[in-house]
Amino acid sequence: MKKRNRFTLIMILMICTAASLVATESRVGSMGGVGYYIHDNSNIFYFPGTLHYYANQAVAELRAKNADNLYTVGVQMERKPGSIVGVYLNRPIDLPQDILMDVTPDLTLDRVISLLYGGKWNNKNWGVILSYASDKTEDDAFGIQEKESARYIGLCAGLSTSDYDLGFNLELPSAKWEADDDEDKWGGTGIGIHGRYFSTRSSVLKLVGIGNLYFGNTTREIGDAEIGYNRLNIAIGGAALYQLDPKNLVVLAVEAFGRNQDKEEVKDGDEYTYTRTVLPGIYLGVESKLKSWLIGRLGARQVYQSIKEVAKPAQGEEVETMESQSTFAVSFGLGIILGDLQLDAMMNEGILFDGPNFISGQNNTLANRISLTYSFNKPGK
Amino acid sequence: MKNRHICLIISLIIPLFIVCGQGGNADPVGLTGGGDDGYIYTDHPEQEEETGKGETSADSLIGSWISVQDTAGPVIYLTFRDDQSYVMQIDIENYPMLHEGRYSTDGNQLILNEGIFIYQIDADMLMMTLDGYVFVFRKVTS
Repeated sequence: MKKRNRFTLIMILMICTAASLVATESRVGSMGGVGYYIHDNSNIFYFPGTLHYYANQAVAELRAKNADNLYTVGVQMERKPGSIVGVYLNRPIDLPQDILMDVTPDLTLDRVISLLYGGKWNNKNWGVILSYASDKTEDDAFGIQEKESARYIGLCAGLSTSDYDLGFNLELPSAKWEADDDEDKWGGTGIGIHGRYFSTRSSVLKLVGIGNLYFGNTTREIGDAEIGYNRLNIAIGGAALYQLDPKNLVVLAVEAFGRNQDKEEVKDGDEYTYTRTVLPGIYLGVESKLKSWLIGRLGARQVYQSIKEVAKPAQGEEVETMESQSTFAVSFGLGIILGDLQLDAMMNEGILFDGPNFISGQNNTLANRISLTYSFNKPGK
Repeated sequence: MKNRHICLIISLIIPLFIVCGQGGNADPVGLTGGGDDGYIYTDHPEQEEETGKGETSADSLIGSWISVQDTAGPVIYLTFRDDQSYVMQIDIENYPMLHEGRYSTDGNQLILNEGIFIYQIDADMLMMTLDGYVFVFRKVTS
C-alpha cells in the first residue's frame, strides 16, 4: 500500500509539472506577455542556463498563418547527464531594418540559426547560444558590378539556479554595399544583460524581481556621411506568482520602469532622439488546467508610456514633441495535450465576435499563433 | 473550490479593463513584457491585421512600390491607383513584363489577377504573402 501511494504521488507530480515544463511563446504571449517573469521553455533564449529544464523537446513556433519565413523550429536533447545540445532554425532577431535597408536594400537579415549547449558547473546550470545569419547578392545590371552582403553573429550565455537566472548577450551585426569604387557599410556591437530572482514566500506565493539592460552602438557610412546609431534599453520589474493549486496559476507583473532610447546622429549634422518611457507596464496572466488534456489561458496588458522625440538639425531650431498614452490589450489561449505532444494556441477573439465563416462570412482564423512542443525520452518511459 | 472562484473572478475582472482602460492604437508592449511572443517583440503581422492594429486599408496601398527581395531575383514595380487599377512591372534582364488589372481588398486580403495575397503595411513597407512566399516592397511615391 505504501509503495502504491508513493507511485501515485510520483505520477501526480509528473502530471502536474508536465504543463509547466512544456510551454511556449504562445503560452506566455496569451498570458499577457509575461515570459520574463515565469518559467517557460521560451526562456532559453534570454536565460540559456534554463536549457536544462527543457531537455528532450522539439519545438515549433508558427507565428503567423501561411508565413513559413516567420516560423521557428528547434530541438534540444540531453547528450549525456548534465549536457544538453540543441539547434534552432529561423529564429527572429531584432535589428533596425530601416538602417539595414538603407545600406543593403536587397537583403534581409532578420532570422538566424542558433546552436545551443548547456552544462553544469558547481551545481549550477549554464548555457550558451551561438546565433548566425548571413545574406549576400551580386548584380551587374546596367554594367555596374553591385555587391551586397550582411552578417549577424550573436552570442548569449547564462547561469541559472532554482533561485535566479542570469543572461548575457553580445550582438555583432554588419552590412556592406559595394559598386565599383563606392562603398557603404554599417556595423557595430550590442551588449545586453538580463537577470531575475525568485523568492518563495509561501506554498502558493512566489515573488520575482527582474532587471534588463541593453546597449547597442553602430555606425553607418553612406557615401561621405557618417551616421551613428545607438540604442539604450533599461527596465526593472517585479511579479507575484500565485500557484493557487497545481492546476491554477495567476501572474501579476508590474514593469516599474522601462526606457528605450534610440539616437541617430549624423557626424557634424542632424541629430534625432526617440525616447519611450514606460511608467508602468502591467501584465496579468491566468493559466488553468481545465481538463487533463486542456489548458485555458487569459492575459491582459496595460502599458502607460510617454514618447519623446527630439530633432536637432545642424542648423536651425531644435524641435521637440512629446505624447503620453495608455494602451491595453487582452489575449487568450488554449493548450491541448495529446500524449507527448502539446499544442498551444493564441486564440483570435474575432471568431467569437463574428462566429465561424458559415455564420458570418468573415475569414477569421481560429488562432493567431500556434506553438507545438513534442517531448521525447521523458523520465519513466 | 476557493481557488477556482479566485480564477473565475480574475477572469471576469480582466474584460472590465476593456471598458475602463484608455484605448490606444499602439501595441501595449513594454520593455519586460506585453509582446505577442511573450516578451517584448511583436513579430506577428497577421495578428495585428486581425485585431485592427496593423494598417491594411486600401487607401494606404495607393502609390508606387519597389520590391526588396532577399534573393537576386527580378525587380518588381507595383503601382496601385485610386481607381482600383494596378500595374505590375517585372524587370527581367532589362526586358520589362507588364501586368495590368484591377485590385480589391477584403480585410487583410489583397486580390490581384495573380492571386489572393495576405498583405500588411508598416510605415513605408508593404509585405504580401502568397502560398507561404513573402514579397516585401518599399514605397517609392504616394
